[in-house]
Amino acid sequence: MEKYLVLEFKNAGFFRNKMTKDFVFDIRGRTPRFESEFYDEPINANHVSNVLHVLFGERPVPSLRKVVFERVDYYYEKALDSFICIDAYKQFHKKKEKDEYISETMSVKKAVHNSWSKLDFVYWERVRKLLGDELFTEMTALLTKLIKEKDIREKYSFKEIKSIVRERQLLDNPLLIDFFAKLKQNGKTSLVMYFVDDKRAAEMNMNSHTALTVNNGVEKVTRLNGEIVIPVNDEDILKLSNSKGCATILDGGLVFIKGIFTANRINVSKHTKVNEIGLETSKNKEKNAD
Amino acid sequence: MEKKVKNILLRLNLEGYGIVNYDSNDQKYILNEGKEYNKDFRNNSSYAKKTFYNDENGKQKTKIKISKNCLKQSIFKKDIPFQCPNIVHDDILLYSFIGSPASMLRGFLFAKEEAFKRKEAFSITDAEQSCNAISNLETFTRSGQKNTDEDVKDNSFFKKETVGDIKYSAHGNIDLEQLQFVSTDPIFDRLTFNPDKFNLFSKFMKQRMESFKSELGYYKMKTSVVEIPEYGFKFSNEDMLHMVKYLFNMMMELTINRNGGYAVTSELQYKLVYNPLEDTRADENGWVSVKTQKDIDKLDFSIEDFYVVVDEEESKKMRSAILDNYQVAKKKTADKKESKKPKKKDKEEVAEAEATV
Repeated sequence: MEKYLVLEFKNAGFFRNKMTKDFVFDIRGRTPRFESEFYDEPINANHVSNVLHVLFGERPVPSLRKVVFERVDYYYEKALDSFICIDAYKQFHKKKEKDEYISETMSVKKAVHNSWSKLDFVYWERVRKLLGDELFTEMTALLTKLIKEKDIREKYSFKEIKSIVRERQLLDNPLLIDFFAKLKQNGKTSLVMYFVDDKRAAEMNMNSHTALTVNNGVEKVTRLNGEIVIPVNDEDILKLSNSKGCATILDGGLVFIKGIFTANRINVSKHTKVNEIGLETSKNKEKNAD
Repeated sequence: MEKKVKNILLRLNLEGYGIVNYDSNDQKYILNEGKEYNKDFRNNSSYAKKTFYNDENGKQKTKIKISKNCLKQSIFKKDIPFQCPNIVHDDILLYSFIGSPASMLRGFLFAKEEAFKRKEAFSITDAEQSCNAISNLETFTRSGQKNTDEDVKDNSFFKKETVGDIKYSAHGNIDLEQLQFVSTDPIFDRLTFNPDKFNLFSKFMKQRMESFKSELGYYKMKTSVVEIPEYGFKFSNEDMLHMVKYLFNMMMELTINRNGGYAVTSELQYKLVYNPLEDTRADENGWVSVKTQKDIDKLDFSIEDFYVVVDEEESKKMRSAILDNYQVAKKKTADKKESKKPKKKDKEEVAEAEATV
């Protein structure tokens, strides 16, 4: 009698929002996520094939990113012969006129280093880091002279200095104009902009010495649970018993082995055959439409 | 022959009071479809994170949960109180973060010119409600000045989902194969860090794990048909045990505190997997309960060697063609990007032409 490997998966995270400013990284470097392809169906033959690769002691092979090694066709064929059942709550989407998986909100960490913060929080130590010791000493000396007060670093925050400079109309002072020109020549325009242009006040966050990025954001994620039934032979079972026996699917979804069952103990009435699940990606659709 | 552990399954039970993990307000659109008593159309309501089910009659059923992200943040909060991508700008900060058992277990992604990433070795599901506690939308008021503009509606009332005593349970595993090897190879899509900085990594790792003595080398997966050796290093059995014990300690100390609620670990169970087809999650045999520090200290087992060392010269020969192609591909991408950017000279010419017009 035919034997089947039954797997259950829990908490597989599926991100629908592909129009983020995030990037996809592979051996070619980085590509903006909205430029890269993505599958319409949350789980298809490629995902199941990767689970099988891992369970049978191979590396998973990304299908939309480039790597130097290729998938093992035997496991891909096995994935096509499998059955899958996704057991997650669906809701009728009025605009799309079809049932869709519900999603929850989660906070995500922004990994990309150039999602620059818009916060113009500048303090003396940051200015010193930006200018270096020599220029910084020159600037404090000049500001002491212009404001006509000693220990300005002790008395005022850098933000207050900005207000004082503006209130006393020191921006028109030739000494300060010359110093700003020097800063621009030395590639420190961001500090000049902090004083001059409110719209560009946060430019200092883009300097490598004082870089500051947005470090988290909000995303919608759909969590999927379900079952995968895969036909196996005796050789596969032997290999599986020596493997690690765990894998992941989608974002952080855990795959557990339920066991090996004979055909008469399997009910796949609610399952879909994996080879019937479409492999269309959004870019493919656009091309077909053209 | 000595039996070797291939994987560790985990069961985590939590107990607490009140809600500790909230979802966004968009949940009202899902809730309004079903349950009546938590129905609310207003925008100033907070809902607990939930799992939704259909019961036998097709009616909506919910269970309160703590998301896996919240659990992981709380488990590792002692070593990783927050994650900040800004540390990529400073090697000391970056390698201090990467060179720790917490990072090796939890995984990370840092992207600058190159992306440094490591997949999590410790995975856990959402902790789902395991008791019959029923939540309720409670009305609260907040202090503070109200909006005095007559045209703008404002009130100090808001609604928040609350619950009394509650229990949760979660499942997880420690992928020992994933934990065992750290790749420093750009061609395998899992570059953890720059191999040139191995000494810096090693310095930080030794501070946190004295037994760490691994060296870089070429390894291949024992079970894989892909013969290409991968550059990286392998943790010893002692190191792996240290990390497993560290994780168990963190899980036992898990506490999630929030204004009006808390959740703490009530029970941690583990199961060593020797044969994945026999030692399954559903099988009740083999589960061991961790109750005290002694239970963690006495943990001792041999872990399967998933990777084997390959001779360096042989590895270099096998990899030469791939590395050459990799460099060509990288150059092509760089050239492509460069050609997309308008050159400075072109920009100036355009500006001049515009000025003339």
